Amino acid sequence: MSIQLKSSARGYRLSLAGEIGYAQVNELYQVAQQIAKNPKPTTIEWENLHAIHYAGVQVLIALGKSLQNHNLPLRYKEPAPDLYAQLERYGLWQAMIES
Amino acid sequence: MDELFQLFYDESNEMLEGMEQILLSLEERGPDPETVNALFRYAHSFKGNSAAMGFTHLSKFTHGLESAMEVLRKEQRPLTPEMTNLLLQAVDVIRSLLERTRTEGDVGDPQCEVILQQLSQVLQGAPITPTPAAPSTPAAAEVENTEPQPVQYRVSYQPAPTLSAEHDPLQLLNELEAYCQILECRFTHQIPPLDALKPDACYGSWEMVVATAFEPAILRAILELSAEGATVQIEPLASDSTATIADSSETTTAAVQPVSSSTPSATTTPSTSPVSAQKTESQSIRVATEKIDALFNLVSEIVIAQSMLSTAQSAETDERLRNAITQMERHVRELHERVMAIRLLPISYLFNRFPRMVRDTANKLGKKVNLVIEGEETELDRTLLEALSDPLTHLIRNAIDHGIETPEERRRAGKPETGTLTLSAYQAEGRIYIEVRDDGRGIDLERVRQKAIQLGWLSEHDQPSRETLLDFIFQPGLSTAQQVSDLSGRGVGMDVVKRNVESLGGTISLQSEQGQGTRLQIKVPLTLAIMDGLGLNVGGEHYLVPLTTVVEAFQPESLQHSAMFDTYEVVNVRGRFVPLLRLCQFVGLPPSDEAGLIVVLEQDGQQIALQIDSIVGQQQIVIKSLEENFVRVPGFSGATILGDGRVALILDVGELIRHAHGAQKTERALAMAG
Repeated sequence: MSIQLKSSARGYRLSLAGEIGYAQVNELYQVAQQIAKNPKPTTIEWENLHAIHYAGVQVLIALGKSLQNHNLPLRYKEPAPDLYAQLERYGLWQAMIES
Repeated sequence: MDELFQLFYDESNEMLEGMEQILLSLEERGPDPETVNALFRYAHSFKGNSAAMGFTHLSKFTHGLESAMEVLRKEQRPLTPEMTNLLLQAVDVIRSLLERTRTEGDVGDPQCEVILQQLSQVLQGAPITPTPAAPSTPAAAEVENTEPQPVQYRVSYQPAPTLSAEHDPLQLLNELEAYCQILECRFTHQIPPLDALKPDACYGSWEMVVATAFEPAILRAILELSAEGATVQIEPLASDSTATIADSSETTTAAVQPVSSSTPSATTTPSTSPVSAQKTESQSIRVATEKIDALFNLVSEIVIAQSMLSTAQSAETDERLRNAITQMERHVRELHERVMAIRLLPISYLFNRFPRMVRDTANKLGKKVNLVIEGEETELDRTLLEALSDPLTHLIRNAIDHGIETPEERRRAGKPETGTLTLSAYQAEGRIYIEVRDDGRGIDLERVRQKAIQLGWLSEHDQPSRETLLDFIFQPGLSTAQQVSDLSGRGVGMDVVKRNVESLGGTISLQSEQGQGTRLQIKVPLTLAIMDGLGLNVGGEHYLVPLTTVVEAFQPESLQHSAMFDTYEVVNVRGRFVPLLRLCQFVGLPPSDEAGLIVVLEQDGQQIALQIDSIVGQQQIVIKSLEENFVRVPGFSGATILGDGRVALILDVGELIRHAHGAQKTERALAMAG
């Protein structure tokens, strides 16, 4: 599992890799809070993320809402095919990109 | 990693045994919520463990079972015999899969799918579809036609309000898909902005249309699994209705209010919960038997070394050293007792295997048998437990096959249709007694007599005693069964049972009343390893007897000796005549000049007076097998190492008694007749 946040003048790049289980959600939540405190356009890079606990999905949606409140976008790069298929099948992908 | 796998296999086998016991008890006593919960927990733990070890087939199968059990649990359904059979079959399949994982890794079994399908049918109240044969046969085609067709359901799923490592709605949806096809799925939520988010609260819910041939209760069970408080609604869709979820706005469908969790923050929840769980479970640990055996062997060596020290102590004048050796002796004795206690296991470990066997054997033979288990808490050395498994299995099968009658026969005999088979254990006189009793037809002694005549063991004119006839049962080749079954009746077995029991230093006896039943009693020593012994000296040689067999010792007066017949002598012990055995003669030493002592020994209610030169003293002895290290020597049950380093033989009191009572003579006569 890897959660990496890179900041630049143009915005944040949040890289997620491996598997985000429930034990890792807290770290993801703290990183998301860090973004929300100093909001900038953010891009999620997660082509190497294979699985995510539902609690992690909620954090990403909540981050999207927080950024939206500042009229800032949360962009998702193309996820790994299996993860995308799962998120799409259970209606979560739509909720994420709408947030 | 090997240790981890071993732990997994050990735990799995315990769980399977537990599941089997619960299923049998449910069948016997009917369902009660706590027992069904226990069954469910076993399946749940098994699923988790096998998934953790990477055995996905096992995990998936047990997940299916868990779901079926969840239906039983939630809906408090009665456990029908069909369900019990299927669940017991499932336990067998898991056991077989488990064994295969040792060599083949993560393997599946087509039987898993069949059992799950049949469980689903039983839960729906439908008759079980037979196991499909080869797909190309017409019969198989027929079977396929009778399989239930998929039905569409509308499923509303609101997960439990608190998320956890075990409660991941996405995981549950994934598992749900193993049992249905999700045709449509709508996610609704009230996820707040980040500053208001509680990471462990669930803000989402799902509405789905699914198609499945499984019982909807199974779908419900999957979604309600792992967390309390989930809400699941499942409604069948009318066959002509379109599989579409009613367009529902967020305000009506996403009414999931995040319930404030009592957990202060997500930081502590995942890390502290398992730790606290471990704390409550840390009262026992699992230790490999090899480690205990190694510890025990070491203690045995310490006992020998202690014995050497004690011997040297007598020549020691230093008071402090003498005291230290005495204290050491006490501690070594306690150490030995404590290590012995680790090796002791309740006999329930062995007895618990039998309810299933009794049930299956009785069903196979069309008999009704009630198994009564008594004294299952009696503790026995682990080595003995394992060694007794085969003999007891044989005795129990025999009792059901030959002893207990069919319900019809029992009715005719004025007995209840259900026969009673009692398996009991208790400790007495330093030995463990195990009994197998049945209230069946008993042994037909006339048939035994005829069989013995056929085999040439008796002539037509012989009128052997009841005991002699019963003793024939333990001779190789005798079976009075009219029909040979695959269970017993081939005349092979009871002699092997006797030999096995005797190799453990035990004895087996048989009592039977025709029409009333049969009782087999096995007596074995508490342990095969260390015991308290009494050292005996004869002709300068040192021998030992188990202290538990010693009744008394005295110096005989000449009048107490009486010769009887040609070869036997008896001694008058307080008015009773006890057979006398001169140990020097028995072991082939020249007669002693000393006046000597008489030691009265008793085993199985029979006594013998052993004439020796003197008593050496009492000591702990570590028993070393003669058979394993040398050869079996008649009259001796083993050997030990003495404090001075010499080897001493341990007398087999049972055999001495048989010898003195002329049992060997009978055996020789039988052998000659054979």
